[in-house]
Parts: sequence; C-alpha cells; structure tokens
Amino acid sequence: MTDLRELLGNAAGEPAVPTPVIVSSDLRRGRTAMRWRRGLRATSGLLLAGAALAVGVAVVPDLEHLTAPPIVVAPGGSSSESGVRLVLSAPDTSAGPFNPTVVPEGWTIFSDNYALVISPPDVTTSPDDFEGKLVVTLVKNPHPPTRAQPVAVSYNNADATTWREGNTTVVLLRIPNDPIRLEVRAPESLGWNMDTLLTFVLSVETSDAVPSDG
Amino acid sequence: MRDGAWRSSQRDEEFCAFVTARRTALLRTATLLAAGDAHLAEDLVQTALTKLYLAWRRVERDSGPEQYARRILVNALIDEQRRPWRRRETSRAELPDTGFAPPDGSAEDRDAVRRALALLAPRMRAAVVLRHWLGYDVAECAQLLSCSEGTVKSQTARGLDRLRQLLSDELTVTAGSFR
Repeated sequence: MTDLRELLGNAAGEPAVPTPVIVSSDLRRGRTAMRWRRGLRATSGLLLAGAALAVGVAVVPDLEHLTAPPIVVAPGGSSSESGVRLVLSAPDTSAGPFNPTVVPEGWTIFSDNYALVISPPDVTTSPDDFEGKLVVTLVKNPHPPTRAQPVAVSYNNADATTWREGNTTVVLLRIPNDPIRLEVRAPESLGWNMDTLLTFVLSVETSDAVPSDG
Repeated sequence: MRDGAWRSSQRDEEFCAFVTARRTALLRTATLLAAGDAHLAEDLVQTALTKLYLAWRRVERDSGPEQYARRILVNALIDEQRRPWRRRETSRAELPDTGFAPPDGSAEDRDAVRRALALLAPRMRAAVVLRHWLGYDVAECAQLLSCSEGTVKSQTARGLDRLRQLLSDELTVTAGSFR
C-alpha cells in the first residue's frame, strides 16, 4: 500500500540545501529585476512627458468603449499647460514607500505606508488632511464605478480607467503582472491634466507600500 | 529622509534568509508541478523568487512569501505551458510502453509518478499537487489557481482518477489518499 502523499513526496525528490552561491544568484536576479523595473518606469514617465511636450497631444480617452459622456481631458497636454511642471526627483530625497521618479516642481511631497500626498506650494495643512491635495494610494480590490472610462496609456500593457467624483478626477492604473492597482485622486483645482497625472503616477515606485482593500 | 538604503538592505537580508530556508521546499513543489523536469522546475523557482523579491514588502504583510511564491510557481507553470515551443512537446494520450518499473524501489516509484504527472494537464496537475502534496483546501486551491471551487474539485477528481488509472498497474496506492 502506498500513500499518494508519500508518492508525491518521493517524486518531489530531495534537492540539496541551497548553497550561498545559489542564494546570492537569486538575490542578484531580484536586484536586477528591481533596477530594470525602476529604470523602465522612469524612462516611461520621461518619455511620456517628453512626447507630450514635443507633440502637444494629450493622452486621450479611448472613445470606442464609452458608454457614458466622455470626460473632457485638458487639450494641449503639456506639463506646463497643466500648471504643473514635472522635474526629476532629487536622488537624496524620499517619499517613503512611494518613490516617484518625477515630482511636481515646488510642491510638497509626503508619504506614509499607505498614501503619497502631494500638496501645492501654498498649502501647509497637515499631511493627514487630504483636502485640496493630490493623493496616490495602492488598492487591492478596486471597485471602479460603471461610469469609469478607459484611458490610453503609453506604457507596456498598462491600462487605466478614470472617472469624476464631484470636482475630483480619479485615475485607476494597473501595471502588468501586478494585482495591485494604483489610484490617484486629483482635485480639479490643482490644475493637473490627464497626461501630467499619468506621467507622474507611472513614475511612482511602490513596492514597499501597503495596499488598501479598495 | 531617505531610508531607502536601509530598507533595501533589510529586504535583501530577509529575502536571503527566506531563500536559504525555503528554496528546497519550493524546488520540490516545482519539481512536482514540472512533472520531474528539473530544468523547468529550476526556471519556475527562479521566476518565483525574482517576482517575490520585487514584491517583498507587500507580500510580507499580505499573504506571506511562501504562499506568494507558490502562486507564482503555478502561474509560471501555466504560462510556460502556453508557449508555442512547449506546446509542441509531450502531451501524449497513453503512457509509453517502456515506462513504468515495478514498485520495488523508490527511484522507480519516483519516475513512475513523475511520468504519470506529466500526462496530466498543467492545471489539473497543479490542483493535485496543491491539494494532495501541499494540503491546501478547495477554497485555497481555487484562490491560487484563480478558478472556482467547483473547478478545483472536478480537476482534482479527474486528476486522481487519471493518476490511479496510470499507476494502478505499477503501484498499489492507498484508496483513501485518492479522495
């Protein structure tokens, strides 16, 4: 008589305990992948910003799938026209678990494990107060409303949807092979247009952040 | 201020400790998922560990690294089997004539089980391995395989039937373990 689990255990073999060389090889592959991902995001963000500035064309909603009135995306689409200028973040600054490669010039950035909060230059309220600020969070189980509309994203297989909640634009971004989604909420008064918003959010490295349940 | 370097160092330390402690177990599971293909099993483990490193902080706080790595193993197996050059291989309806050896040695048993596993579809094989090797319940299997519990039950039942059929001439398997 042979137990199935015993059979499977036997078939699984008895691999040797990993040597330090094997462990360091696994670590090296992980680090390489991390550098590649950060580089890709940074490159994508800068390319998007550069393309928007050069061509002056906004990233526009995919109108083929619309079932609700389209969201008006600010025309022109350059970072300067949005009233926000994105610049490379200084290498010695950190936004905690959220690490954007590009940041809005002159704005204040705060982050804890759960949210990245971007305050306009003239706003000095507590970081816990999200009123009038751009907020980025990770969402584990997002529930976008049915009125959410797709937005074209020039990033490797990423997709985004957007909708309005009052005077706030909400964008939900999915990165390939990652079940967690990035949600950004931008009050209209901040003057961010869609391409600036996407350029910024695509540059955010979030591997150490904690997702909410959505 | 920037504590990225410290976090990176901590991530590296924790990751290396996990790999040292759990790589062997992951490789054994991968060997079953790969039906004894040692190269594929190693590929699956490397893929899983690389993705685990990328998601280390989130995974650590969420489902735990081992659970995450197992999920990646299964997904990587299924992705691997979808590759065109992989589809051209294997998948035979019948066992090869020269296959099974008598059950009088663990090496022969091992090879027989691996060959039988190779004749199961990847998802079916994964369901059997998750349920009967790792001991996951139906709900956990469904979550890992991203399918319904009913699918897990049917895949497991069909997989066990197929294994029983394939191995019945070679091994006497405890009936209870084939539920």
